[in-house]
Amino acid sequence: MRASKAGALILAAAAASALTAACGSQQADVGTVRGAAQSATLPLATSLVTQAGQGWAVIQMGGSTARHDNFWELFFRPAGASAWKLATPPGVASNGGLVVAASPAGSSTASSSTAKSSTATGASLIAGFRPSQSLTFSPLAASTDQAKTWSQEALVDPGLANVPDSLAIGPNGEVAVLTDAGRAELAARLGASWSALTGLDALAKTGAGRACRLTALTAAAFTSGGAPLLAGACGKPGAVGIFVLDRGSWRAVGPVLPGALAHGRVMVLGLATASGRIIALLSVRRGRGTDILAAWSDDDASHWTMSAALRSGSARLVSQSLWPGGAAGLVLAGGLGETIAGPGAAWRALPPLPARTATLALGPAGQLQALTADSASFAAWQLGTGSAGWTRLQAAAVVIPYGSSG
Amino acid sequence: MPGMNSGLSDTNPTLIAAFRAALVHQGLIVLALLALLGIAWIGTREWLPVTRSAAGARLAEPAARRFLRIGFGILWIFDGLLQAQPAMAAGLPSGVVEPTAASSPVWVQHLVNWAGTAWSFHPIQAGAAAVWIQIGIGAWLVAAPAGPVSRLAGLVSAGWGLVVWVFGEAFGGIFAPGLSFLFGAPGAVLFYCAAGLLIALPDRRWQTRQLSRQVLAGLGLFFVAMAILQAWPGRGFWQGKVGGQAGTLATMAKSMSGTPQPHLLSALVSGFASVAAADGFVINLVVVLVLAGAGLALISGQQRLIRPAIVVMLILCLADWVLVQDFGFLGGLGTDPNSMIPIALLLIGGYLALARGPATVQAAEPARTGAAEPARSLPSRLALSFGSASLRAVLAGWAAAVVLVGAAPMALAQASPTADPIISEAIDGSAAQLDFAAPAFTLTDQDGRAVSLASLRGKVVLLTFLDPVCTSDCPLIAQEFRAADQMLGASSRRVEMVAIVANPVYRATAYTRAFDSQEGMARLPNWLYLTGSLAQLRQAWRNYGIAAQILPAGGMIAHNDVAYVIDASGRTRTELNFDPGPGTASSESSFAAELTAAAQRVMRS
Repeated sequence: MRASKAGALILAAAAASALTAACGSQQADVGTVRGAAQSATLPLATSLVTQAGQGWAVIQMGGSTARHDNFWELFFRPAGASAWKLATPPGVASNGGLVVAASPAGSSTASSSTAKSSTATGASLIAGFRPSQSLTFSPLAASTDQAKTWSQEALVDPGLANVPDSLAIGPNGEVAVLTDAGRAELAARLGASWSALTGLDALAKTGAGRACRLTALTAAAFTSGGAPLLAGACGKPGAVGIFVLDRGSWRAVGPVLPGALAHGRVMVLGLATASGRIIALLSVRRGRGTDILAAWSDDDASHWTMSAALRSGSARLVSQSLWPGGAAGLVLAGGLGETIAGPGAAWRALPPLPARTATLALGPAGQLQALTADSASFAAWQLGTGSAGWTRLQAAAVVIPYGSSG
Repeated sequence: MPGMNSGLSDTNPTLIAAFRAALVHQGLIVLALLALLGIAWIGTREWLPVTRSAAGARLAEPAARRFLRIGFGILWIFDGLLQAQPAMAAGLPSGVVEPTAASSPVWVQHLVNWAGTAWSFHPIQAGAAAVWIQIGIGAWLVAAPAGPVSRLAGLVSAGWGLVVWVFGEAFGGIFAPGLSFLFGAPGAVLFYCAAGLLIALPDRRWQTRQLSRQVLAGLGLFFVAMAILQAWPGRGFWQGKVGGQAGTLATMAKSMSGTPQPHLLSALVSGFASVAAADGFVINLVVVLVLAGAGLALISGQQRLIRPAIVVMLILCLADWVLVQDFGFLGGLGTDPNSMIPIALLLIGGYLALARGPATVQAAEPARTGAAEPARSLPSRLALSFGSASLRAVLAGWAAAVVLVGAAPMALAQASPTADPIISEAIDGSAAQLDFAAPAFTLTDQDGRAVSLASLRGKVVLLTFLDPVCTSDCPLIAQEFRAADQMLGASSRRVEMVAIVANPVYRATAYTRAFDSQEGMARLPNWLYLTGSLAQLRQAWRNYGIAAQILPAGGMIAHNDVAYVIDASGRTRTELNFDPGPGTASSESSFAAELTAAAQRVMRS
């Protein structure tokens, strides 16, 4: 063979192998908390406290999510008690996730509510099961007697969105939901037929939606007066996507960010109304890092008070909880915990959280608790006075039905 | 039980027994064919005035061609025997083919999974076909030394090799990351194809040394390309350890050592994994240099370089075959000895062609009789031709028939769009034939109307129990009912498909309607999803042997999956265990076919 032929063959081989190498070297994009797509995803782990002092917490337990060996569990703490007990509504697989909305049972005093809102009639707590495997709708279970019994008459079809505030109860028993299909729906009461409130596409086309370049819906709530509130992620830097349904049309009512944050992209992580106060948790993405802020409004979103920014860097959000008085607690990856007491307060970094903390919660007298889940083991830890450290209050084994959903 | 993971194991005894039976059955046909051909051939030679015409001088088969033909023939036979492993019929798609394609692009996965699904619809026929086709091709190659029949064997070998390379090896993984000569790239069977094409070449192409130079240069080019690929940075081959973890080569060797095999071999491969982890750079450097050096030597065409290059490459192939590829077929469901043996065969074949030179002329055997041939009828002429054929030609014909023995049942099976009933039988066992009055019930359908079993008299009722919020089994069962309804065609008008809620908690009609919508059951005019009070449901469950158990902590309701066929006069005639298994297209089709057959049986009786 002549040298020129050999050279050409070698070049051809080099080109072929280079092409093959390039084909085989693609890297998967690994994201953290993202909400730019139509259906946003936020961690579902959370806790809440009712006006009567009852605590509820949603935690993922069990094993592999891919093998459907994960099970989302609901825990209940009676008023005045420190110990938690398992209260997951029976009859349906919880592998897809669990979302709850609460109101004080039988309460007619909206101003005293400490959950997302209160209701004069209907359930004190509604739990919604996210779709999983072949199940495409969300069964709902409601309880009026502190999880002793559940009624299962209603469902959401298509299923609830994968965000912790995809379910909300209004002061008069109305129920609002966000669905996987990017729609918001409203029922006059649990079990009544659903009517369309709006959808991501429709809301994005309104003046309010265009102004923020709405890209996702992330939370539903009600004002203390019972007007539906929706929140989402905005493509326009500095815009905060919170909207209220006002006389049949949607109006932007989000706060204005301080100058330093006005160039970041904002997603509402959580939204709730408690004791007439709206609290919103915002994530502001700037460059490679993320800031988290709390915003409060005592006049149904007309005016807002903003917290200082909490620089979370690239730490992944594990859980968020909104509590009475506008307090909030966050769990960030790496065992980090932060709380804020309400308007005017500063973020408080907690001592390193116990390993496998799923969410923060409040104890019977407002003490801070960390709830941990390790496979089938549940534990509640309490923060000592003076931030001395965490003391284990309770340890319990949960009978996880491994293999039941495979 | 829903969610209790009753899949279809590749060691399922029903499937293994059926596979063995098919192999024995077809094996007997193969032996009978051989006996018949042998008797006919001997008889023809004995009792007819067979003559052997003088063929004139013909070329002796070149040593290189003979080497490739017999070598790859033996490889095909070996591969065919590997295909006869008991778990192969059920396990090949999920245990071999689909994992091979898992890291390839989606279009490759679609292509391969399509073939896997086709296999899984008729696993017994497909498994047996793979055995006999490969044994047949191998025997054909070994038996047919020359002429068109031999060349056709080469062509068939290349064609089947291509099928295996695309669908069985997912293009040898060339579209997947981690491609490496050491791991078998670009797929062992591609070398079978190359050898088959060489064997299929006209005899005149073997009469010069040009062919051997082209083969060796082609191999040289391949080795150089593989050397560049092996040297490409960032692929983990230069490091024995990456971030404290074993590098690519060490990881591969470690995983191979963990497969079931004799301890001595496992220890050998494991030891090499340790060496690769410690001295990954040196090992990769040696591999790259050998591949590049040998490749360039083969491309050069100079015999003094080619011989040592082939020796060095053979050593590398042997070392890789033992230490990295772990003989290719040990552990799991091995289908071939991987790439190093075929590469070695091609190298030796190429060298033989170069060293031994073109074919020599072989003197023809003299004719047995020189008498003038009388005019004969066509059957007589065919019989005489058959009798005058050589033993090898007869064996080659038999081997071609073996290929057909394997391929024909599979081709016939593929003509049916329905999966074999053996799949559902393997999962749930056989149906029970019964004859007693079906227990009565009066419940509420998805539209709120009262429906009693008595009101369905005159129709065959297919009855099952479904949880409307079930995430796994019940939706599959509903789909199987839907598919059965389609299979029944016009006679579905004589059938009522009925499900009763099997969830003591979620039993409102809102849920039965949502389930119907989710599964597309609302479109079936003969579909009823019944519910009622807890007391009514419990009565129905008790009467039909259903146990619905609430599991704690977010578990799905556990209940038994069963279907009943109730005849038009209200008598229970068949009970089918109806755990839907893995929910694949084939299991779904198989269950639907089983249900359809049961309904048709009752309609006929």
